[in-house]
Amino acid sequence: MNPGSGKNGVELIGVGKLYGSTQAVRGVSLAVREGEFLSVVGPSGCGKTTMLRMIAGFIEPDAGDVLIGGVSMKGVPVRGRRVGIVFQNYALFPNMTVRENVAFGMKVQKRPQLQIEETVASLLAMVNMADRADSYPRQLSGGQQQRVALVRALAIEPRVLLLDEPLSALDAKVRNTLRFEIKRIQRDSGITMIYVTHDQEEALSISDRVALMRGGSLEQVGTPAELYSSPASEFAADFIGVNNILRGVYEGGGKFAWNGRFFTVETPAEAERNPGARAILTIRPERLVPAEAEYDGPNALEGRVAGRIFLGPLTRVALAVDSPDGETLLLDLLNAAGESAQMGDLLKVRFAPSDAHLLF
Amino acid sequence: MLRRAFSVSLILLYFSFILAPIVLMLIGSFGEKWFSTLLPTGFTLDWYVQLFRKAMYTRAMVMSLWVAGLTVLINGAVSVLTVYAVHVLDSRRIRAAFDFCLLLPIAIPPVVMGLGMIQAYNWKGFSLVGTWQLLLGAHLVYTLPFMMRPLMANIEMIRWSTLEEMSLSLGASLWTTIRRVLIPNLLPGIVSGALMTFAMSLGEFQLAVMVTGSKTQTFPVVLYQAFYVSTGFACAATVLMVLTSLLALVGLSLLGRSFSGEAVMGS
Ligand SMILES: Nc1ncnc2c1ncn2[C@@H]1O[C@H](COP(=O)(O)OP(=O)(O)OP(=O)(O)O)[C@@H](O)[C@H]1O
Ligand SMILES: [Mg+2]
Repeated sequence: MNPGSGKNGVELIGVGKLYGSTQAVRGVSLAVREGEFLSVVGPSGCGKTTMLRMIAGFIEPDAGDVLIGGVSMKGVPVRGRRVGIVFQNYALFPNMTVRENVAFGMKVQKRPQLQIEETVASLLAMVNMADRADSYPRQLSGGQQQRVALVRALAIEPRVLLLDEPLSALDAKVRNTLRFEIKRIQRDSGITMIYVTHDQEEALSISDRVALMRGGSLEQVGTPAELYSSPASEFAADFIGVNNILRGVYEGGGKFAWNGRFFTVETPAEAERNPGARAILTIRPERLVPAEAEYDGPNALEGRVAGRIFLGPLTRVALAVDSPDGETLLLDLLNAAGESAQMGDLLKVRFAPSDAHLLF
Repeated sequence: MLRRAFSVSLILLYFSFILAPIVLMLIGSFGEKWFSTLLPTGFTLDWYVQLFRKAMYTRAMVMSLWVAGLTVLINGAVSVLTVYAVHVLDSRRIRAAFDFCLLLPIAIPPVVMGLGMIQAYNWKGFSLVGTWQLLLGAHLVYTLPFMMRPLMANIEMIRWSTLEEMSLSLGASLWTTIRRVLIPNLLPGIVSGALMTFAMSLGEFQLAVMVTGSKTQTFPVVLYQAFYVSTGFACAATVLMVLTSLLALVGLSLLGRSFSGEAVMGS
């Protein structure tokens, strides 16, 4: 079965949108399963909002097609799509109370009054806003407004909920709690969610899958673990999390040459087709571990501590490696080890072949 | 202490500067004679009786209210539509044209506009000069910026395009969206624009004196002539003008408040 063709799945087929000379979205094909939580991440201006607005129907794609529940949305207006939307700036109706805001969608659908009241009450209870039902939006904090905006969109029982950076305007603490509240609601209700954010950490923490965009195209789509440990490109390796990116040459036979050093790496079979090619080795900071001074196995590096940042549970150390280019590697040390590493100390580290990721 | 005394006296000066003439007019309108004395002498209601007896004055008052009311209604409707369109189209060029058009009536003095209108709409055999319709047209143009500006500020403040998208996505039609969301949220702008427009049209003199005829004179025009009748009579006419204006403005703002109250209740 086509993964995007569930009753409430979304499928994009070669979707593109041109603004003047800017290709905001180019040839995006993506299938979001019914009940899936998909995040869309990418740097500013990469086309996340444009893609979301094409799904919602605010703009028509000028190439490709958007399918919801397996049906083409060509020519279907916004109000015919039953798509819920949550914007960054909440966009509650200022002239209506919280209760009226949430009831609005059901009212225009002419649902029976009793049903409207019951639904509104249970939705407000779900986000702990029952006691503010008669407040006006201007009397609420940003976080409270966004909670109301969230259930207002859910009240119409949308087939898919689209969220465009819903937490960007909130402070870190509220952002954290609300993020997991959204996740819980998604899990409990089984609603399909497409969640745009430029915060990759947020995306990794709550999504079933993450779609990484760059310059209007999809760069990589996968589970958070896939994106984190097997980035498909240097861009993905750099954008998702923190990474050490080593530019060198793949010598064949699992040997990677970098700055006159040789590392042993695990390689996919097809890598053997291009020995001598320029390649990139990516190593996560937490995969670099301190080595004993007498360690003389493979994949060892020595350098001086050139900087350290205290991150709470761990300390991030910048290690200046002895090399012609004066490269610096980042490594994460759990606190006890981190505290002992002082500026200027000589430190030896190593990594397992399976912990490095080779890219061509 | 000194600073406080200074600012209090400034405020008093301000109010006496504005209110003193009106208070004098009020006193004068009840005085029998006001000739080479500081204050009028004697007490009479005669001036008011005369005022309501003379058809010229009552007719002028009706004409003023008629033109001002129509100006508010037409400009209100035109402005809501225009501001909505300019906001939703979200084009820099259209916005620049809009701003320029709003500047014109302010940049061109009413005298110039009046003379221009006489030149433009006075042909042999068919002339608009002297009709109330021409005055209405002149007032529509003259007051347009004062209706548009508060509305534009209002629609931008509520970030209408996002609200509209939200309403549509919740299943509302454009008509429902405009009726249930746009208009209630635009009421503060509509009310302040209407107050301004009404007051300006009601008291407007330069255009009225140039484009109206004897049958279509508005109250400010006949008020000016009243001073040739007698001081007491002119005072009474002025008081009537101020009262009408105040009543209308209070009425308009109450109306606006009750409407927005209703909208807030969700009707
Ligand atoms: N209405 C528009 N007119 C012209 N260009 C536009 C318009 N909307 C978006 N663009 C352009 O399309 C590109 C993608 O914009 P989009 O808003 O989709 O990016 P985004 O990924 O949502 O960025 P951000 O993270 O900053 O919100 C940008 O280069 C932007 O300048
Ligand atoms: Mg965006």
